[in-house]
Amino acid sequence: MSYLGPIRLHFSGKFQADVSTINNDVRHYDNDTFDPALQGKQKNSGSSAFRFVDCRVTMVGYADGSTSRRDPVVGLSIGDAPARVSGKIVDLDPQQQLVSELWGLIVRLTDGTRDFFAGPYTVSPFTDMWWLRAQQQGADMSATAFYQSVISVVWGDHPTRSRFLRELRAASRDHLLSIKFNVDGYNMDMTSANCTMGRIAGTIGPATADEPSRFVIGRQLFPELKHTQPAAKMNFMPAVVDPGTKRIYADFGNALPTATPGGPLANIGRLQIGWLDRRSKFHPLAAVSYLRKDWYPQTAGIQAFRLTSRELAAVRAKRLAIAQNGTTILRENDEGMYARADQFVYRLQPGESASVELRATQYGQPLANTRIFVFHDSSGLQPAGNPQDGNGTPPRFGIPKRAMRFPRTVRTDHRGRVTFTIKGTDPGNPRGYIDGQVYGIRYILADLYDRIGKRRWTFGWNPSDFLSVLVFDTYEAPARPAWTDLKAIFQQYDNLYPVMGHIIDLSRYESVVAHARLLAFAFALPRHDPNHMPVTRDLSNGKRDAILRFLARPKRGRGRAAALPAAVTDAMDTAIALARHVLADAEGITPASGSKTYAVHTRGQVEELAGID
Amino acid sequence: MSYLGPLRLQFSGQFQADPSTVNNDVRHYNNATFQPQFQQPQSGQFMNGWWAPEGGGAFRLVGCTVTMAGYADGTTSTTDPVVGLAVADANARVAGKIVDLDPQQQLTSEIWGLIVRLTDGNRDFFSGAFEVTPFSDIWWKRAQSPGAKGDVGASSFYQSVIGPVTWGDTSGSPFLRQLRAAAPGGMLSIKFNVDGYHMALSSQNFTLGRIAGTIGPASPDEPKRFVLGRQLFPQLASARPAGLMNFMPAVVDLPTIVFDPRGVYPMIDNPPLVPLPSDSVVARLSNQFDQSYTALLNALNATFNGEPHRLDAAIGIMYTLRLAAQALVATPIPGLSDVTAGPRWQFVAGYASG
Repeated sequence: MSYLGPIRLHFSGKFQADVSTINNDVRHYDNDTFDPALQGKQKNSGSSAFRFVDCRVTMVGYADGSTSRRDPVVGLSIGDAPARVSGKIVDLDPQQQLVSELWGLIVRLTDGTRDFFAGPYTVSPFTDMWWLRAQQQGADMSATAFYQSVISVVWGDHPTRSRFLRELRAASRDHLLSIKFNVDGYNMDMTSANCTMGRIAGTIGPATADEPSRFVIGRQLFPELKHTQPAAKMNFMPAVVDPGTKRIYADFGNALPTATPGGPLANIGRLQIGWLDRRSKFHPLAAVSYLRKDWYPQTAGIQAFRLTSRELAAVRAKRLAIAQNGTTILRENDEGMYARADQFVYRLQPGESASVELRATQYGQPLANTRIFVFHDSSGLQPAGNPQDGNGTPPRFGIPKRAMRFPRTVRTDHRGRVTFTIKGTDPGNPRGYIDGQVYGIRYILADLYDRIGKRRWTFGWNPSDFLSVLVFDTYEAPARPAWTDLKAIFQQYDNLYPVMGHIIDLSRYESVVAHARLLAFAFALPRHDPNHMPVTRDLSNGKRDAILRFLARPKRGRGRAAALPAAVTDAMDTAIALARHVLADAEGITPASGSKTYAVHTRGQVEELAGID
Repeated sequence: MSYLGPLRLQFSGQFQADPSTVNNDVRHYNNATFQPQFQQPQSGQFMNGWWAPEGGGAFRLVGCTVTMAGYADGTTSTTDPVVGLAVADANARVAGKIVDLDPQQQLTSEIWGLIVRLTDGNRDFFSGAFEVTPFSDIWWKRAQSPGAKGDVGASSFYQSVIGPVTWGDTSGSPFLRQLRAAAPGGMLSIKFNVDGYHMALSSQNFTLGRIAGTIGPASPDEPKRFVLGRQLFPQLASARPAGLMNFMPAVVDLPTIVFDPRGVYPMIDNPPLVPLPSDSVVARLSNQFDQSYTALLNALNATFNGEPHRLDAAIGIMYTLRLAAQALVATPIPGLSDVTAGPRWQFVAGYASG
């Protein structure tokens, strides 16, 4: 049970992601070479706020599979926090900007006076980013991605005549709602009234505690890949076969191209949903209504297809597929197999472990007793700095591998699940001026691994499906740290987040001490609090504790302030490897500096860097 | 604001005061008893026309150069380009004149018609008229050597204003840029001490004396001829300093709030009454400010009505509100020139989303 089922509401509107962009180039973390003039360029005063703007319910679906645009909730607002600051959008690391999480976000259904439900959005990153959704050049604006998570919901005790709300509440026995929304058409034009805004279209339905929060247990449809992006005109998408309502619920929301960024869906011809037989012949079931006017904002790209009993039986153990003008463009993986981690972004203190739960399915049913390979693969990370632009070589990510420990092979239980431990140990400051190290860990079903390799990684895997892990360095600080011990840390934040300059000069002892109580308050807030400092959530516990000790009893200290560690780069190796990928990835995209595209533009390719080590 | 503050130049050199002294004896005004030898220099016991009967009354600045500059932040420099320039008088008209009020009041000799220029000899950096002013606080026994008696051993000072000055190219000197910025009306405060005056006709320095002075910005609502500040007094004996120091002024320069006009936005009056174009940046920022303001009121309302822990959230919104206000007042309103938007402080009834 999730948003992708009969009971659901669709909403659409705008979002604002008021990001700060200076930290998108990892080399800007180097205090020694930081150019203060950077703070005047680009749109750098971002507060990291993430907001829903003018989002309204457009349609609802009922438990019996019917839909309505006349239920009383249609037209209500999907809003964010009414009595605290907005949520924050936060990168894991400058070298992993493709899993930006939302922290401290509240989601409400409200008529402006009364909330019908409200609750915190469980921290979750976007995934399945598709760079060329809009079929024209651009930076972030042509991209799309989606967020999926759960809301721990509190229901408003207002009498309602909404059948939808009654059904939703009855189905949400664990007080959880499933939410998924697509974000595209992001505007980075500083001269535009819509700068930092984008389009949002999403869906909310019931959730259970036993299901994954961040992906749908169901059918996953894959495109052919070229340079780790969809080779043709559709992106990855999920579907669910629901015998109860005899329907397929398919989510095209993040999978269909648009003509212009944030604009109407592009006409890519006749689209049908169907299934593939053993010889991969396509058997159509129904047409996709994607060209109907306002179909996307009204449905968030979800279409339910009614099946006959015979059709339902046919698809039960067959690969679902989408055909464009009769040719298969998306299909389930071989034998309908799929494995996915629910949580795929981790921050680990040195010595800290985390549990990773994977679920394997076949045609949407648990896949028991199957092996999954787990291996280092940092090809999905980004250098975040072009080594050929004359500004130095970005530090290498993903090394040393020994600091990131995990089992190489795991096996699912009878429920198709397996939980294993990843452990981060002190990576030993391999990146110099930036704390810790970021790693990519990929998992692939053992039964699929050889087949994917034979296809030269052009089908059967999702480049977004891997674990992104930031492991912090061990930090040694005196029992009573002085400003001279900590200045470099504050200076780095002062460099990278100029918005703070409106409140406090983090580079000056006097200013920091004058705000010591306020800073101690913000630094001590739990990470999920929207006022948590630093907003980037990239401060190790060691450094945080030292800062709190300093703020409790500030002292200046003697001598020169300690500097950040010098840049550590494996210059030749990194430069050669990266330069090759810059060229290989340079098709069709002119990245704007500071954009996600820019980050990925310098990224490596899986054919060359992936592999079991 | 005067010469006695952080922003100042100091100069030193010589002055020439070439008064006629025949009129220093009031009795010489009596035509009936006037004697021709009264036009002769004094000789022995005969005062005659005193020590400079031929004087033309000129007052000149001679060989005065800038020795040091002080900046607005309280630091000083001897390497600012202004150091070494000449502080000079008129180059295209006759010299200023030093003039007694009356033979029976010779201790307020005024300088009339003086021009003060800062120049490198070719170009003037500023130039302006010195407002008529007398010397004051004469101290007869500044020089302590036995031979230094009378005018020779005396010291006094002149304080006045120059201007409005004509500015030259001040771009090459940080000091001059600051001075010019601090004196938008072009009025400068000047004070110089004069001593070591040579009265011996036989001396090559006859009619010359030492000058050491200071120039800074002047404020139109402050006195021109004395410093508003702290005045330090000596004990007196026979109306003169009893000890070894004379009267002097001081200024305690308390921390000031520096006015930077660039930091003041031309915020429109009554922002709630100003219609904002829909789908504009300014409309979005205004809405966000109002929503943050509403969220703050909501949080405070909860805080004071049984949920004190909500204060933390309220504090967070206060900073958001501050940033939102700063963004708002920096944003122009399309269609209106030279004004920026401002907070409306409107509670959003039924606040729905951000």
